[in-house]
Amino acid sequence: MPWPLYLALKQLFPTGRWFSFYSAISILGVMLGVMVLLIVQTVMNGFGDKIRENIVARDADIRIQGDILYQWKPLLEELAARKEIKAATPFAEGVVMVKRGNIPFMPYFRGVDVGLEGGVYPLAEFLKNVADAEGKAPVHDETGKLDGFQSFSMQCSLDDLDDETIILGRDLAANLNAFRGDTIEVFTPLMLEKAKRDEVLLPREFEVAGAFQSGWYEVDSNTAIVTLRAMQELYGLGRGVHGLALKLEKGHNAEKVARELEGVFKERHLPFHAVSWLKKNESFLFFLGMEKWVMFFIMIFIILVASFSIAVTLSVSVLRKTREIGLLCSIGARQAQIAQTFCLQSVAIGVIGVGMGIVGALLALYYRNRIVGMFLSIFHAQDAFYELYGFEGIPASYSVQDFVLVSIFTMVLTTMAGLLPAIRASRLKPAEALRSE
Amino acid sequence: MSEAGRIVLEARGIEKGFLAPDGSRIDVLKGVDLEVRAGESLSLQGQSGSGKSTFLNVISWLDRPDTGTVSWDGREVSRLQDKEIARCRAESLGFVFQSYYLMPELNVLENVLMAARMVGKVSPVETGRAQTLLAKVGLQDRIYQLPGKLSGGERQRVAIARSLMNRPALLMADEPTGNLDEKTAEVVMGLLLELCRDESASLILVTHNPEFASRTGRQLHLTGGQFSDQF
Repeated sequence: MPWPLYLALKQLFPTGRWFSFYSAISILGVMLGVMVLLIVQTVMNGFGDKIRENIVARDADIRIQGDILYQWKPLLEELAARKEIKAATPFAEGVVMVKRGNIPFMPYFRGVDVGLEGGVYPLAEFLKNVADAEGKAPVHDETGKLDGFQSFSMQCSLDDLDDETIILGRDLAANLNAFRGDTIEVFTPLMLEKAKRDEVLLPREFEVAGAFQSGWYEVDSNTAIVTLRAMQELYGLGRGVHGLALKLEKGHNAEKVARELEGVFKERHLPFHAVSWLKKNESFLFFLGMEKWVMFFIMIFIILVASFSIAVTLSVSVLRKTREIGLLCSIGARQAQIAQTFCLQSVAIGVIGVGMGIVGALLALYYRNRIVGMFLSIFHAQDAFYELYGFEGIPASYSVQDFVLVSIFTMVLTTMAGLLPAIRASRLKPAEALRSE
Repeated sequence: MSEAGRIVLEARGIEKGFLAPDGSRIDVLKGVDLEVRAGESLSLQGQSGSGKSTFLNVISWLDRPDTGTVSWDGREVSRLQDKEIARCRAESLGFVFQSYYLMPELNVLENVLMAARMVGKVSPVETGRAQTLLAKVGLQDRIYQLPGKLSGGERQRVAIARSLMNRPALLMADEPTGNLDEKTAEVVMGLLLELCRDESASLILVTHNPEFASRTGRQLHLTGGQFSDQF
């Protein structure tokens, strides 16, 4: 082992001791910085991925839209036959007003083709998610007084969906206080159109068939599913639909396929647009990415503080060891080797700090839900937290690129922190260093 | 030339001065000449501030002279590159200082072996030699102790062992007993002279003690920037 490395390691980990106090503080600083950076990046990645997943689950990979599509069946068949397209389904959707008792809501209604919908959206999975979610309905006696609660499942299957029934998002059902078998009234924009012509259209009634749970609060609290035919009637579409939703085979880029389809539509002078989920949510995804890098930028300052502490520690070390530096020169050390000794100390602090930071971050991320749960339980805020973010637990998505980037960035900063003291040490004149007090 | 007659150090016309805080110049060395032959021992005496340590620093090239030349084993140091100077210093020169200068992070054995590490020689053979040297200075039972646990005399003995680790041609001792009590100083000085003889190393001893100086082959006095007993 070259002596500058040997001496650097000995100064960090002296004989007879595990480590020196100063090196422990510096390593701890770097470790904490790396840990925080990696945890934040990984959780932010997790949030981003989860949000992307939910967007795809709600919006499909590509939506073909335009004016109301009346002759959509040949187009659907043609698209479904393309090799990059796994499944296609028509949809009609829009905002309606629902009312149950005196509780009004303006949810998003989605009319689906029961036979085709499952190929594009994981509806069966969403329905299965409520298997254990029990509804609790109040039971009244003959005089109308509350006589306790009756529990029953809100679980249903797509077979339960017909033109007279509706499947509510789990949280929408809870907000409406609606249970299986209950009836809800639906008011549509078509009623306004009719009112303009002095016609009266009565609200349509649906029986609640059950609930679905996508795991995303915004969807579960604001979406209801009806049959395509029911939605066509609610919006007065006749046989038309609002568009087609496509699911791609794995490995295909949604934006690229959308551009290809756009080209085909243009060639045939068809008034349709293909919009990928990436394009549709471009601004949101951009801000999501920006948010991650802003967090990275903020967290960098932790590493900077740790690097500053390394620079201070090594500068003090140079002062304390001035006479030893003189001695090293007298027994054959070159100035460059003296500089190496101090620089290698900062490199060693960086390597060990980064290593420990990675291990610490992986451990903290592994137990993240337990750790966050512990803190939330202190403030009794679990429900509010998960409702706010709409996820079950804290998501995390490990990115090798982030780990490598953080490690290299930290190594560069810690090495630079050691450069100044190292240069200072190498510039000491041996005779003056030996004379110093 | 026979080994005994070989000149291990030659200094010619060494001048060295410093700027005083008031801006005036203080000439410490005024054209000093010195030759040291292999195996020779000499002492350097003089009042405090007379330039003894400055002279040692200059001839070991830890400090540059204003004028004059220094040669080690016939090679003029000013013509050597920094890398060669460091190498020669590690292999041919040994130092013992008044303040020991042991590395507190290393134990006794590691401190002695540090000199061998400088020239890239760390092997069981070198470890054996370090242990032998430590045995010669009476510290065979304390080789794994940290310097902080040793007395002043013991630390100086470790420094002596370290200075001889690479079998230097010339050992420079700058008031090696300056921090020791009389009895310990006597022991340390005895060891230093004995080991230099055993290792055939030349010795330049800077001391204030006339009795210690008298044990060397040649006594020089530095007065007014020059040796009063020039060779």
